[in-house]
Amino acid sequence: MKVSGSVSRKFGAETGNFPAVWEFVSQVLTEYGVDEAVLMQIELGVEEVFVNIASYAYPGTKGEAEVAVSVEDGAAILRFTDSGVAFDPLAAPAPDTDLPAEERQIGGLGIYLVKEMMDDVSYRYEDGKNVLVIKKLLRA
Amino acid sequence: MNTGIYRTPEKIDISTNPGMSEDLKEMIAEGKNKLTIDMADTVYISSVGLRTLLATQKECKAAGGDMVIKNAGEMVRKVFEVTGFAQIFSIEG
Repeated sequence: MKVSGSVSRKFGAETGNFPAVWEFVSQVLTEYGVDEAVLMQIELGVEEVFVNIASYAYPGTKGEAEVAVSVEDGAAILRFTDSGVAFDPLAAPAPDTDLPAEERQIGGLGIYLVKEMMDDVSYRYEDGKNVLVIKKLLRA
Repeated sequence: MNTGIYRTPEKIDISTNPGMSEDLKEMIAEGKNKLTIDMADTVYISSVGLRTLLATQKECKAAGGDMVIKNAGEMVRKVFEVTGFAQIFSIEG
């Protein structure tokens, strides 16, 4: 186990950069000895949040997303910061998961998955930036 | 009815989903309207994969057929359950 401390890196906010983002995050978490099953759930959270930023934060232009990883008090904490359009994904209504296939709205599904699979998700807008933090407890 | 079996990749994410989506569209274009999606190799699925599976099921049904999912593993099942897709898809074994 490593002593906690946050490591961060900036990536171009494009969906094609997801593999690089995950390589960075998984490398850090693997050093902490994070279990494979938990790692997979964190990957889901990272993919959905990063793809969301890449798809919507910078309409018609390019920008960056900073990804910071740390392990504190037995939890992985991932912080995503972008300077794009102010948007609180957590404020979007949850999809109605009881509707039949024909009536299902697909939007909002990714962030709904993040909320369900992570132990905590929070959003704030500060200094002109969107800051989304996801937390996952590391006990299997 | 024209049957087809598709084995999904190990990970269905933003990188692999376009290829899977293309393969499935091709099968339907070939007239295969009764598809079995064998997920035995798949350990990971994100929302883009769910969208593709939902679209595939709709296309199969529109063509008078159906889509069945087989051998879904633990992570895939959890994602189906959390999102309510477990009720939408026909899931076997």
